[in-house]
Amino acid sequence: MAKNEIIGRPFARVDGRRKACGDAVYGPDIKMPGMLHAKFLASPYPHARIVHVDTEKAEKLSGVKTILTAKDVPQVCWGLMVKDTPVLAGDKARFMGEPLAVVAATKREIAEEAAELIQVEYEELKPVFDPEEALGPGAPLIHEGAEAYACAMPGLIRYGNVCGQTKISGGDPEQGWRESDLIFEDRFSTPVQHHGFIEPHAVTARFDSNGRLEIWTSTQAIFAIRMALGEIMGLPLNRIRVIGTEVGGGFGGKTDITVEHFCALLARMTGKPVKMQLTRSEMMTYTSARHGCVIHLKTGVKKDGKIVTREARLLFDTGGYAGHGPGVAALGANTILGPYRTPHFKIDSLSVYTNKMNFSFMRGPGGVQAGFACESHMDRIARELNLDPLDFRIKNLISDGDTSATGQRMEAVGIQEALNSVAKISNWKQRKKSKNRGWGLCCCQYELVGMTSSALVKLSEDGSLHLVIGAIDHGQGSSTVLAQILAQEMDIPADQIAVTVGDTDTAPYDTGTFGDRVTFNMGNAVIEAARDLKVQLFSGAAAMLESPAENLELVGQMIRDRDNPEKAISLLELAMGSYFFQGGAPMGKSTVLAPFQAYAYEKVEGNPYPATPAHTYACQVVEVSVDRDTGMVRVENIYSCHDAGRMINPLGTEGQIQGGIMMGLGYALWEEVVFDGGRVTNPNLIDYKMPFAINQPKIRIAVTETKTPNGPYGARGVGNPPVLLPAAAIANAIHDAVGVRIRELPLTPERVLFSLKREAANKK
Amino acid sequence: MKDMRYIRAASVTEVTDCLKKYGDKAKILAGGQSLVPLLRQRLARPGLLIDISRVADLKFIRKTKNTLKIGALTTHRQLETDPLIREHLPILADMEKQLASVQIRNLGTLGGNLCHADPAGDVAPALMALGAKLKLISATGARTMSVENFFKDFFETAIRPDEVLAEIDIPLLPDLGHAIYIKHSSRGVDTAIIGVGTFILKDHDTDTCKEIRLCVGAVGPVPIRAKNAEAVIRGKVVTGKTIAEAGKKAREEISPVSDLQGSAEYKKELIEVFIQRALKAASSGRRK
Amino acid sequence: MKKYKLCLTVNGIDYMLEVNAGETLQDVIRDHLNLTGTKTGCDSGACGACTVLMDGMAIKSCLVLALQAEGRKILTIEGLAQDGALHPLQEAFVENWAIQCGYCTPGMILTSKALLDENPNPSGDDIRMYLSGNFCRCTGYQKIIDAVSSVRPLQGGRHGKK
Ligand SMILES: Cc1cc2nc3c(=O)[nH]c(=O)nc-3n(C[C@H](O)[C@H](O)[C@H](O)COP(=O)(O)OP(=O)(O)OC[C@H]3O[C@@H](n4cnc5c(N)ncnc54)[C@H](O)[C@@H]3O)c2cc1C
Ligand code: FES
Ligand code: FES
Repeated sequence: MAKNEIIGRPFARVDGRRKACGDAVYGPDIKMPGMLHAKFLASPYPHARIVHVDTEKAEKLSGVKTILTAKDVPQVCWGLMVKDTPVLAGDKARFMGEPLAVVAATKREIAEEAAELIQVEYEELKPVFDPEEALGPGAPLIHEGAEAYACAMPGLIRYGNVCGQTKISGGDPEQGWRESDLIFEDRFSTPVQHHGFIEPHAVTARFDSNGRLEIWTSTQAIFAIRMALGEIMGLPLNRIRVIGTEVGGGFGGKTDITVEHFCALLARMTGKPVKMQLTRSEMMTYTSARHGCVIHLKTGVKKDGKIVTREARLLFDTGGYAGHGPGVAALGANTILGPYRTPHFKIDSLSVYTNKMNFSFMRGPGGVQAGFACESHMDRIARELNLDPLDFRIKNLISDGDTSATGQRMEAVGIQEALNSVAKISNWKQRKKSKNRGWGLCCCQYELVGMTSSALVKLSEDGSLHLVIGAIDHGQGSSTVLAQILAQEMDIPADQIAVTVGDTDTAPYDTGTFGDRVTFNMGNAVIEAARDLKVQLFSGAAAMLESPAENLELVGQMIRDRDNPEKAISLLELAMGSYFFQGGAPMGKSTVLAPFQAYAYEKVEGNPYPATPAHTYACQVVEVSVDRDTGMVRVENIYSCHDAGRMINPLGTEGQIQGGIMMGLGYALWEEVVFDGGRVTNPNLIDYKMPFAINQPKIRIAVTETKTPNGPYGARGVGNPPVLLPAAAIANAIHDAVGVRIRELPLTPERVLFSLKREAANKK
Repeated sequence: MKDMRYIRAASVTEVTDCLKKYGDKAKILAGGQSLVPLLRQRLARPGLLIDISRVADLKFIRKTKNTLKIGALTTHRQLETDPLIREHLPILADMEKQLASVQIRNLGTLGGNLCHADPAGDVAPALMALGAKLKLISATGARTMSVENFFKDFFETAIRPDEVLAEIDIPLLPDLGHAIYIKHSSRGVDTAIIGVGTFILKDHDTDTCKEIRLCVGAVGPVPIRAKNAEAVIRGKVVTGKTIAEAGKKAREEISPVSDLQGSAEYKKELIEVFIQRALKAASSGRRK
Repeated sequence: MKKYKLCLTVNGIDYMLEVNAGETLQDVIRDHLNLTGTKTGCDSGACGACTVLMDGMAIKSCLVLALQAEGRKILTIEGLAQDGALHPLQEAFVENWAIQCGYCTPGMILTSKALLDENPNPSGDDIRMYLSGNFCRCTGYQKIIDAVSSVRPLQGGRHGKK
């Protein structure tokens, strides 16, 4: 391999200029001649039988082209894990905001007006909003006949309102309780968080005269969209072309179908291109969001602070349809022990139907909820054992060679070094305590997603290189990082590489942009493709140079004989030779499935995912001050340390961390999609409160590099852990500052003030 | 679909004539910062928009002997940055810094803010504390009314469908008079959870409070005065003890209403805290 | 539906258009003029993605009716680079990785321009305050602040005055 000069350097983004100049084309920017605009009619009830739908009046409105209701669309149920979702709600509506009908009209305003004119007769059913209640006897069943649904994933545990359940156990919990000196029990609850990407979902679809569907959508996973569309539209996948637009933020919220199928069906019906763009209120009542979660934790410890045993129960409020819920519950189960050695444990994590919108993936799914609970609980135990929270954690940290709860042998465990580093930059041991100010600590161990990535590297006639992939860069910077990796492999300046994110017709397959997987998996795929290309180039050059291929190396865009460096040929010459005389167009290709150690299935039940190929690690120290009169929390300082395995681009790495921390800060302090029964009361970005620039505390970041054996150059993802950390770190710091432990998010001034008052009343 | 028409008025007379002719079918458009989203979401569907933003006669900030006169079309941003305001009524510049974002302050007008009558608006409690008066003009004449009497209910004012708000008239602060506005919001740039406008005038010789107004916003349908709390302070020297008592009284006399920013119970706690904070700041502060 | 005549200047070009009373400036820029660099994100004036400069002032184009912009000079992100040379703010955003998904970027850059035009030497907190009508969900803001700060000393310097 060439000198390490490209990996680890702060390259500017390959897509920077087009984004800074306004010519990057996002979902809402797509426009076509003769295009119709679509709008859906949403159920005004959280749980209701649909008795009758009358579209006659709406159809008469001038400009309306077509209206589809449940009876006009394919009678299939689709779903990522459980096939439980009808195209349009037909017999009943399971959440407020669920689409019942779609309209296509010549103008957006006309489509809106028409949707309002559709008359629907409902018969209200008893709803259930709370996952604990949904499990109770006599709770209304949200899916009657759920047993009959097909499942896309094997081994799902389903019954009643439970659409997925993961159970993990190890050691002997009963013995653990007997061996414990002290037992701690807590209940935590977390809110629904909106992804809050600024770009609304926007999709444009058209059918050509050959009956081929083309669809432009702002998505993180073109191939996943294509597969779902194939299922719903009844089309073979080679008749569907999904073209990913530039993505204005995704964070897990653009991995699944939202309105792609509506546009496709309306386009087939009308023969015209159809576009649908959601309003913020539709995004916040119909599309997905982070699951709210209730978590019970019970931990037994020795007096000296060694963890002996833990029992955990997690209830993920999954909403009206399963979506990724069963998988999110599994991720929660895998995260709830944290990076701590726990000899005995029993974990039960459920994904539960309620009459709310379908919650699904959001940055750090399952882990964010579990992380808040686990790390708040750890802090409480440390305090009550009179141990420094850092020492308590260090005492229990896992290390290389330990076995994870799910049975994998742990390697490249980066937490120890990260924790040392964060203690150093925050000066933890010498931290100053003053009135109403406090310090909190939090650790994180999370997983990244493996699965398939493939890449294509083409050498053009002039010797320049072109990387073609199907992995969307939704802002995290993967295209830049991948260009760097290819540049490193081919020893070529990174800015001479062009990266094309292709569509489903032109790009080789990739599973999608989520779960910190692109740098990791696609990084490996790019390395493989580059090596494949080099083999071809060397064999071509061997003939031209009359040197054995094994003797050749690629340096500075020249292929030369290692032993005899004047025997050399430039990439340009080689390309010309190859295109015209020998071999044809050189093209390196690869497909990789990240290796992983399978679950120890005697310990793990119901987990729909394959095990992770690598864990991710980070930790954080936060200093806060609390206004005791108003409950207002001010985050004064954040010190955050993240293990990148190997940092490929420091600017990109920092950007991921800084952005993730602010998203986590929002989750900790303000963000909550508020439900009044089944109704969202704040479906707009004024009353749903994400952080602005003035809300940014001082943040200091350190990056450690514990090389991951499976990652490209040892790299692992850094995108998810930053979101996991702030909530528990801040809650722990509040406790340190004013002595109240808050087990419910967000930590609004109101919640903090009333906790203080309750605490004061209890003391009296 | 319903058609909406548009008129760009050039003078106050044109505005009032239009209003007379179209009555409540018409809606005035000033900066549009509140009205445009309502139109967009089809929550307001007027038959006619009367755009007053080009009426030059409604844009001014003038000092007379005893008052500052501010045209209804004065923008938030002008108020925030105007030297006359900074010199004579710094409370308003301070209040504006905390109101929405710079883009909205660039176009949103004082008149629009008052007429929109958001119960959590920041302008009203500040102007109430200053004892401001509003001048309303219709085709048949003009009338004035105190800001205090202007608000009727959530998003409802005393303005008649044929009237336009033309001017806000604010008495200059007397020597030793002090006015401040403090706001509590979750992210610092939000709608208020509570906002308190305070005016206090102390006697030069005895240091007792001669005049006081405590005006609380975001606690009910309209901004209100904490009159019992005022009574605690009026005629007395402001001390830690009277401040604490005033806080308690305010808490007793105001029954806040929950909104998306905070529950009634929380607001109740805040009333006491913020009345005390406002009194502390206002009574210790210099005039400028 | 009744149409109204609208004259305005966008990025130095004079336009005469016909619009409905209910159309916003954002509709005109994005739909009539196809200048889709001005983004749309919230339909309530909350996100700042639609920010453009009107007579030099930062405004949210979704909160302004098209007819209110009669006779005004509008600058959108497409009008910022001159003869292929990026504006110093654009360069700074690219160089500092102040862009991730890029959806907030046009609004951020234009709001920053209004700030620097008013106050060529803002502090970090001035920048934070001024940009607090614009959401960025990706970057956590720090690199945006870095980018805007980095432009200060260059005003009139390397990149020339804008
Ligand atoms: C995101 C956001 C955040 C905000 N945050 C705050 C905040 O923190 N604090 C706060 O106080 N406000 C806040 N506002 C509200 C903002 O201050 C007001 O919307 C603005 O000042 C209204 O002025 P305008 O000129 O734009 O009014 P318009 O939108 O043009 O009009 C508003 C209403 O007043 C009527 N009207 C306007 N002028 C007159 C007149 N002269 N005579 C009679 N009727 C008239 C109109 O018919 C309409 O009903 C916020 C708004 C937004 C969009
Ligand atoms: S689209 Fe204008 S502020 Fe969000
Ligand atoms: S870069 Fe994505 S919102 Fe700012």
